[in-house]
Amino acid sequence: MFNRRCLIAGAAALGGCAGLAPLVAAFANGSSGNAFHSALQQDARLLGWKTPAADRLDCPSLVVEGTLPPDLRGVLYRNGPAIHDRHGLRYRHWFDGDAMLQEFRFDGQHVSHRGRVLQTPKLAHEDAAGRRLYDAFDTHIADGAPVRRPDDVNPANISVLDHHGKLMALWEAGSASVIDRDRLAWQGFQVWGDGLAGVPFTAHPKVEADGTLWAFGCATGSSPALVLYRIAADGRLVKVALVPLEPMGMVHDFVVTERHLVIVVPPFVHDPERAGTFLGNHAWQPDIGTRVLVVAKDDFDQRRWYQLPAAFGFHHGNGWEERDGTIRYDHCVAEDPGLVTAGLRDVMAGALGALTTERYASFALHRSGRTEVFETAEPAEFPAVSPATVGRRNRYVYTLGVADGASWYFRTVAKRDLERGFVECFDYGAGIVAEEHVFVPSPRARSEDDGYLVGTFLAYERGVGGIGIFDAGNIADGPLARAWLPYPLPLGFHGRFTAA
Amino acid sequence: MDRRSRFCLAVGLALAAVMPAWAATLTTLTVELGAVRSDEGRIYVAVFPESASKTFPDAGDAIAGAWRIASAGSRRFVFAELPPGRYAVTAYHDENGNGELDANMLGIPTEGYGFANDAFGRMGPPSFGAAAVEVGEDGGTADISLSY
Repeated sequence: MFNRRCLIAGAAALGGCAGLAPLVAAFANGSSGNAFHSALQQDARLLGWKTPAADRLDCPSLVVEGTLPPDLRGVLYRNGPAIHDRHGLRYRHWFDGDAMLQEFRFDGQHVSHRGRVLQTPKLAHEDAAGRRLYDAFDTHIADGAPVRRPDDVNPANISVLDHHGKLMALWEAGSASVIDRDRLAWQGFQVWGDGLAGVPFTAHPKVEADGTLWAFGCATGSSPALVLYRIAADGRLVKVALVPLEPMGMVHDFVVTERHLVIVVPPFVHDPERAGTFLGNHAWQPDIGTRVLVVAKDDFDQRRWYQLPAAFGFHHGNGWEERDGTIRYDHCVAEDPGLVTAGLRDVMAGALGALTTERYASFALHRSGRTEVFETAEPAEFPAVSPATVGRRNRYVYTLGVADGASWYFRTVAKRDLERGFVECFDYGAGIVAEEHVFVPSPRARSEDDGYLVGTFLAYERGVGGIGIFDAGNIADGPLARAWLPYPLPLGFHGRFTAA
Repeated sequence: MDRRSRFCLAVGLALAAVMPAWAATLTTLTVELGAVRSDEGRIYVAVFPESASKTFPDAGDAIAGAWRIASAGSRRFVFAELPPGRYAVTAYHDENGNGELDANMLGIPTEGYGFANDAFGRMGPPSFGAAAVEVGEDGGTADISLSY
């Protein structure tokens, strides 16, 4: 569907992945971390999965290379697992670790950074006990403490949301966490309404231009169900609904269009009868196919289902609908969930495998029930769009990609022009991992791409992190500015920009 | 609603339960309740006989129950005149005083609760056996730490 046209050629591509023998644990217990730490000494690429040196990181002024845009003012909040090692145990999976919230503050001339580990009740109990107590996403804690509610194990480690003046750190199998903005500290669990304490809330809620917040949750208990939320711009719960779904799949993100919510359920299904880790209780069942739920925004009881070929994916960029009711959306998908079952687990033991399996794909759901899939061959992840286009037709989507040739992980930033079928990209070059880049509109934006693309990177060979600021109208010329931290940050997941 | 009512340990019915009338040796079950987090509302405790193991913890099958005004910390409940046997014990903290164990829309309790032996279940309440203690002719003790 897209003509790949990389306007800036990549720097010398890295060689193939080092031939580290996979160190796959036979059991789901954590490890001492020795395998990872000795592998890291040989291979700096693993730096992004190292626990930061301290629970608090501060840099009052990053070293800026280039010129910061004077009208880029506000804060980029980012979240991700950071505490992979604690109390003598290294977690087994990248998704297990406790959150460190990152704050990059822009005043038009300077950038400052704060990083804070979130003392969730889960981590606070463990720190008080001096040992890990709770099973994580894919690590079993022998002789651990009972898990009575999802929030008992909520590490608040996936994403952030800044809505109705409230900053939240998001997980997805339990509550959102309210964050004290001044101290950048865990404050409490968000309760959206009566009967909603502890009910799962996605890491990818969608905020429309008018402030309306749409969200979902996946309840994987013995009565699996999707929870649908509509929340007003002032934080008031407008409505909530429960849609029973059995078997439940692993659903990380969803799509909103003008009139519908679209929830794509890959056939990576949860079996509540199994006694493994949360990840281990999932099984890939491609014969079920991918189920797609389409729900009317103004009537959660109006639902229809579509069936797509089996594929696994985490992230969507956006979706919209056409005049005839056709729904179009994108999804970064792979043939199977190997990324989560192997790649993102094995790296925690120091073994680099396939980490860029997801490809950019577009989907059409016609009113007749017919579906279409448009796949590309290009690795793409962490799609982002202008906040002004959420739920409406977007022309541009920004993703991460790999450099031509061998690139072991994401290091390019790509801007896809969906109307012209054109991809423009910038390659950070060898020795760098690019992380999610978000679109920040100019204060008086005149077009969809009038704004900045802002995202972090890890310069693992130099051992430091940084943040890139691009003119979104011209990605290919490279960042307007790069601001460098004096320390590395662990690779994270998702962020949002809050304008000052 | 079914899940919730099964989980809900409303002991009102249990309070009305009538003791078996035969005159065997009767004994005492002491329930040591800990980790009560506040003075708000009431604490409810229910005792289930082995004959209720299949429906456990359906409140209607409790053999005895009691409630007290909550006080932060620990509390002791004593159930006298029980025939010797195995009993499962449940407790909850009705912090908002509405007479029931509140739960969210998925049926997961949102007020403090606990089971004897600090038993817990996967995706629901523990089994009768996990939450049961032996009460001999010399009596018996059940320990419950409330979890919020």
